[in-house]
Amino acid sequence: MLANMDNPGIVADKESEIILPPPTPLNPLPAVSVALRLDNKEQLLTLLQSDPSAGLASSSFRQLLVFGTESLRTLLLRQVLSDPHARTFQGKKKNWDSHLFFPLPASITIVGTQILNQEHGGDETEGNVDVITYFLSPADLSQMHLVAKYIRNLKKSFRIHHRLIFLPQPSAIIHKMMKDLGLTSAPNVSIHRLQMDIYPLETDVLSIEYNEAFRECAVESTPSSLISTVARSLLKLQDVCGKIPRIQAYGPLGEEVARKLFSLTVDEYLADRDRPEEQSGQVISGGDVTALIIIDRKVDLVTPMISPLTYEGLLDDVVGIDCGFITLDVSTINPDENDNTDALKQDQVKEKKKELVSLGVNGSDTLYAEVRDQHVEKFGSFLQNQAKALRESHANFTSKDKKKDLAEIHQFVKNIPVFTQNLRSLTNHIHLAELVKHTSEETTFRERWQMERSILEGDTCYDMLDDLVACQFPPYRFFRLLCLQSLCAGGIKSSRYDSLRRDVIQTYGYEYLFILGNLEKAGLLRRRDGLWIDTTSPFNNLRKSLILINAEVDTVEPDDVSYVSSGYAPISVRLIQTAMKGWNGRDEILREIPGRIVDVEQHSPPQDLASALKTPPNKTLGALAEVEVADGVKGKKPVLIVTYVGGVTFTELAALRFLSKRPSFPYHIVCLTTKVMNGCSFLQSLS
Amino acid sequence: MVASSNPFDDPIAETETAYTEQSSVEDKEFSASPAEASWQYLGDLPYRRIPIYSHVQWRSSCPSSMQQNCLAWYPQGLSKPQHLVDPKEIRNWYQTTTQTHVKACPHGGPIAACTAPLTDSFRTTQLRILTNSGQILSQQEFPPAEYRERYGAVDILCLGFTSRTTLVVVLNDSLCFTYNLKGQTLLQPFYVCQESIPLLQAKVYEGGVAVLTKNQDAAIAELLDHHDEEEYSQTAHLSAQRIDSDDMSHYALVTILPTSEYAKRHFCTFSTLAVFSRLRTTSQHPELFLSTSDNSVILVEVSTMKMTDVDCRARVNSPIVDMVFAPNGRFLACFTESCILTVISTSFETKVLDFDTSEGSQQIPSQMEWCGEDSVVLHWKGLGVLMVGPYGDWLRFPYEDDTVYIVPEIDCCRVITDSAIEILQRVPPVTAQMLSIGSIETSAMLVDASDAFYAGTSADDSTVRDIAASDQLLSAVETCLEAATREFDIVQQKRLLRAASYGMHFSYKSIESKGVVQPSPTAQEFVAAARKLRVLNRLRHPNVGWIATSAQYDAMTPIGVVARLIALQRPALACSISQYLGLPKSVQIFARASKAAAYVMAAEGTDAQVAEAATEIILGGAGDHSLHRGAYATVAMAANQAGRPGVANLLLLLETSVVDKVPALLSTGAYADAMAVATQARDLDFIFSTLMEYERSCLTNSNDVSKAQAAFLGMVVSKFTPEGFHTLRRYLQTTADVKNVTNLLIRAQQFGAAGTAMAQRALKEHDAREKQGLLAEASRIFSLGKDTALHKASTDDYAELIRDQETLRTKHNAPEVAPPSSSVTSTIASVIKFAAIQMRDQHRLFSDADKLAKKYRVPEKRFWHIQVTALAESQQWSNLRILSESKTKSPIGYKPFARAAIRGKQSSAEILKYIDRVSANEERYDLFCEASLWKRALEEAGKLKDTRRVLNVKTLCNSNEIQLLADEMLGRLAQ
Repeated sequence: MLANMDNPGIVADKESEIILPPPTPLNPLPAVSVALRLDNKEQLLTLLQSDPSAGLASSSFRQLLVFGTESLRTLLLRQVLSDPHARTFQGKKKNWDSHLFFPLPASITIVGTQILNQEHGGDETEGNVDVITYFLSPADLSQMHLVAKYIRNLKKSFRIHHRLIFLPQPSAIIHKMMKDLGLTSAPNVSIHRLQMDIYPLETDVLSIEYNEAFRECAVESTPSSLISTVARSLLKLQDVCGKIPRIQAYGPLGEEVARKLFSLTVDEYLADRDRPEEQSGQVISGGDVTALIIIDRKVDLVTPMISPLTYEGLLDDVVGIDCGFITLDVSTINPDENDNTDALKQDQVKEKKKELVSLGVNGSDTLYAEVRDQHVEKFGSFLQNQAKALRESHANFTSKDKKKDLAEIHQFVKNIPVFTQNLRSLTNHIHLAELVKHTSEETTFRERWQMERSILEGDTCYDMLDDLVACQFPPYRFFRLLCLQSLCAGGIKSSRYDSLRRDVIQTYGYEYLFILGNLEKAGLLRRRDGLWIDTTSPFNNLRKSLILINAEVDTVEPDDVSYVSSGYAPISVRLIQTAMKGWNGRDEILREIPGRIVDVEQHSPPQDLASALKTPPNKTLGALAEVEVADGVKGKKPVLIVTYVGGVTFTELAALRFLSKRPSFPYHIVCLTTKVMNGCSFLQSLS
Repeated sequence: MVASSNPFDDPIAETETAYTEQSSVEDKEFSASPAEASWQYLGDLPYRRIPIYSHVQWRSSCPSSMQQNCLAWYPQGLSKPQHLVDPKEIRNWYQTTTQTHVKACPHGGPIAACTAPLTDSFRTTQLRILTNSGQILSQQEFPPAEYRERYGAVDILCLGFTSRTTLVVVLNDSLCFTYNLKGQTLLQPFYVCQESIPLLQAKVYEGGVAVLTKNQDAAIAELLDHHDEEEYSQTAHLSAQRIDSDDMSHYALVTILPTSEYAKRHFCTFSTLAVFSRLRTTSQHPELFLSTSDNSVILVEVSTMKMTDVDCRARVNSPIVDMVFAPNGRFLACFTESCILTVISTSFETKVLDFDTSEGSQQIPSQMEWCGEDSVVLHWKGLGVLMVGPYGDWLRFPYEDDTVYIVPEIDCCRVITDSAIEILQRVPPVTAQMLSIGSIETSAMLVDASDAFYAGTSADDSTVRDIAASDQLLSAVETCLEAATREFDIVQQKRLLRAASYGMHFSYKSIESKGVVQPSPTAQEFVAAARKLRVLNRLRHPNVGWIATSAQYDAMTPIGVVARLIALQRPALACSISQYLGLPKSVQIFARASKAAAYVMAAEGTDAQVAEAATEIILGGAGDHSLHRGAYATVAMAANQAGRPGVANLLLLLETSVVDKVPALLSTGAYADAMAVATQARDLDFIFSTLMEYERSCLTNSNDVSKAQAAFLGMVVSKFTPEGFHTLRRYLQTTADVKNVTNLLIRAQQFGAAGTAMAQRALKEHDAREKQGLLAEASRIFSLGKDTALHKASTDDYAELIRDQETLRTKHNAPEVAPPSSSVTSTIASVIKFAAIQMRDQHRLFSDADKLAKKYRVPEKRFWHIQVTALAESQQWSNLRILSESKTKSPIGYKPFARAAIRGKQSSAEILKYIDRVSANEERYDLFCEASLWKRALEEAGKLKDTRRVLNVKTLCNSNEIQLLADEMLGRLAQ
């Protein structure tokens, strides 16, 4: 409470210093991400600074931070608390942080950070901690039990205040569980909320960080929380960037989110009873964003199952990108060049030096911004050329035969920081690229890709699937292929299905029986009775009508979004492309997409979705953009926000960026998602 | 009435007719007399006593009450002492054997009265809440029935109102009752501190109640509600306990302060306490002042429990026995044991006054209160009321009755007696200046001129013209207006308003801007003053009985007045006032909804008629339903309370706000409807609270817990939305007993899910016996389902596998042979791998693996794969070779062998042995590449006549020799 008054500093000071960059294809709404970032940071700082037991900000207290998941720690400490885009590193080669080092503000006494599910030494913290702050997600109910256990272990000391922070807010179930677990009666436990709805991971990627999204609606059948969270986030986004005049939604969840969004808007409008009367019927105009597309992940379950072939996608596949950071062994990006001969010795070194580091991978690194979406066939040589160019420019200058005047030297000195920054980033990425390339050149990777392709093209690969289980292929990699097979062929043939399931259970374990069950519930896996003819799956139809396979695509100088996986274009992205031309006469596509397509305009005063649907818009999204361009500044494309309800993959992000940059596509795209994920993390979230 | 050309007088004229009846009554009530004649001077400040209601009948709906006219109430059963025949003596006897507590709501609000015997001469008493004019707002027997066994009327220690109009009654052992103005219990009675220790004193202050126990501990209960910021309770002291009301709208924060330790350490005792409201402290939490036996005061910060001695020993010469804060919180009136009234600043730094009362009485006054902000009023039984001013001046007001109760207010004090209410007030400065005898203020001259004009005695308006010429006319007019609002007498109010209006004739200029005529600020003030007076007069009307002064009205704000009227059960008046004053729409809607609720409670007629009438009241002429969301639900709840569920349902059809509709539906018992609405609105919290609410109602309506549970689950399965069902399932899954969730799922015939829940619990179980039990149960549940054959089979297999693993471990006497695992494959693999450690038992182990594979019907191909992988992983290369050379031809070919050898970094010869047995050229090529046998790979590519493969070898091989060969081959292939 008081923290705000006492400490107007920190954020407010910097605010005045921020100079917004002009909008670009990769940063179409500079103000939005900056505003959200500042807001989030201020909220978190205020919370960390306020002492829950005394209410006065001035008193100093020692605080331990406990996070529900590793991902949440990365998000809050690396993304929210310190802007990863603005961070500089000390040291010669360094461009990373040690894994357990977090750039925390000095004004707060934080004695450490922990992850909830890890074993913790309760006794050692007991002596020197006043407040333990837990950051939890309300959707993950199992965290509550862990917290209760944690608190019970520390119960001996009543002096410690436990505060449970729910992002964005605790639900009624959480309150009930607190009661059941006996936490509400304890005087030293308090519940708080932290209303950070949207986290700008990149200038063009905003995330709600709702990890349980797809699971909650597809497996648990309780989609309400997700729907209202996404709708509320969209409302907040509109608070920052202005009301969005045009909204399209695909898939059942898309429609639900749109409905909730409309009804929230109406609620908000009516809650202000003392507002002036308004004339009715106007379509809203004047915001920064022209259109919004909401896509239910259910519309495109195929894409997450496909192996990505862009640098970023592969990096995620191999190392795993979480909230814009990768965690790996320091020797990967900083190999000790002295002892690479003796294998035995190297093993010893490895054991000794298993130091994990965190490395930010985001668009503010200009080199990474350029290389991230390049195809596997391109980025290797690209990085080599970069290295060569850098070396040359350096050599050019240091060579003694050339004479330089003072201005040149001055220019060079000025460029040194940029130069070293680029060099650091380049070294990192060359090492990472080697790692990635190494994986992508493995036979198994190639075989996997070939199998994916033949399944996409309509073949059935049951025998290969059999073999993969028998070889104890990693379970989630196998499920990706299995689900892909089921999705593309409209199910797995009944006879094969039973034997495959048995194989899975025997090979991977009994618990996988339930994971299979969840995959079935989520619609990723289906039994298919043999009576039907093999060619009539929805995917097969979509493949033709949306031209999903484009084997001729140029992967080095891409001319089509399908370059992201060497010839397959993500369904969701193709839908966006088609939406530009409108849906008239494209019933063959609409028929194959679950749910119906909602295409509405936001009016003022607001209406609910049902009445908005009565007056369908008369312009296609493409035509709308043309009007905007004609009205607005020349050469500036209007902005489209694409919302993925249930997560987005790097493959799709690459494709969207590709579109955003292309002159022929009428919009700049900002992506809002519940989580950035990949096939494996997607399937894991379901189990 | 006011005669004026001012167009803005019109609304007054118009509403005057509406209020005629009221003002005529009031005209009779007050009599016109020269105001200044009754003033009394305290030093040079004039004070006045304004009788508001005389001959008040303090009503009681109980016919048995013996003293109808009094605030005191005695039960019939109380035996009359026969020897006292004189009614005055009887009265006196009553007064000496009982104590009547009378407290009033601040800002002229209602009065609570309660008589308690000093000895336990009667068990129960009446707790009444009355208006100032003596009408009953609520009446109930006290203590409530369920507490009568333990407590009697004699236990009442203290009562009082908080600033949020909550009536608090504290008993001797700190049990605390809270009521609203309707007499409804807000919070379940709670103890402020440990119940075993009797209290010395309890004081109700603006924000709650503070107590002092006989063993010198203090405690405070802050009464809060949903208007208070949620964070406040989080910042309270760690030991503070929160007590919530059933509907979560009110709560109390109880903090026990261990002051006895302090007292022991400093060898002192505490005699009285006072609470400094959190609105005035720097810590933003209340502070407790405790007077000590060593002439000082201890200040206790409630949020930190910090205790500070303010050390005022130099300023106070004997222990303080009573302390009262001035309404503005800047001064503290203290009464000491040696009968000295000391007024001191709240910081205890400056002493304002010392006044010795010992000449009049050696007693401690029965009441000490502030009158406004600049005088202290003391009352002694039998001596009347003494008023002491800031400079030690004093006045004595005789009161005939001894039953005098003083209520402090921000600008005056109310004096309540057995038959009358009056206000004791410092004459407002404007009035004093203007109306004092012989005043030569311009405003006084204006009043005189106006009086003369209306009396028709003289038409000389030169005085006014002189004033106008000196530019003081407007300020004179404004003074008149101001003074008018501070008058209670309607005749006087009219006289002053008339004077103001008369003056405005000489000065009125309309301001024109952009062609629109604007009223002058003075004219606007005139209208505002007239409106305020109208409202105040209406409130003071005996049938409302609310005596607010102008300053109190300003302090409450018009919206606050409306809210209080609703709390006072005068929604119709609240409604018309909010409309008359043009308050914000939200306030008007709230008032209308309250009015409709009151109507519904009392209305008769068919459901449709009542609902329609209620709707009309809610709409109040504006036809837009959406504007009034929330209002319908409020009224529907009231209808339901009044036993008109039909009306409630009709009204709820019109409600569009989910936030209001769901609770209303819940209160009418329409759980399935509530669930449908909550689901449609996509609100998880409402979905869940509907479930919990329904479960609670099932459990309270039935004595048999298991039956109630069954009814609950049955309804959830059959009538609630799927999402409701799944939400309950998710919640039950978190509970400790797995039966909770399986019961639900089995009832819903979802055997697969039920078995899954059971089996998942089994997977988490560490105890082997328990695990087997859970698995058996899961298997049984699976067997009930239709398409759960695989589930059942797998579950049985798993149970069997655990047993087999156990057997293997005992047989080989090593845990590594079959570590606990749920996978058949990994069990077979671990058995095979164990052969690498236990060479002697190789054959037995391999045959065990064989047996396992057969038992679990592992297909041959997969078994081979398992063998190859396991052998390779445990470095049993010779065994791998033996396997490859066994009589049966490998059903998986030899590629996996080759690959295993390559990955295991075996010699090229070893690898080649396997590759040679692979027949397909493509596969051979791939394997050669993988093994980095570039030459052989190149050959293979040549055989395949594939330039792409050749090129591939060329780029990858990193050897000049092979690159040359590759070029050569490319040349050949190109031909």
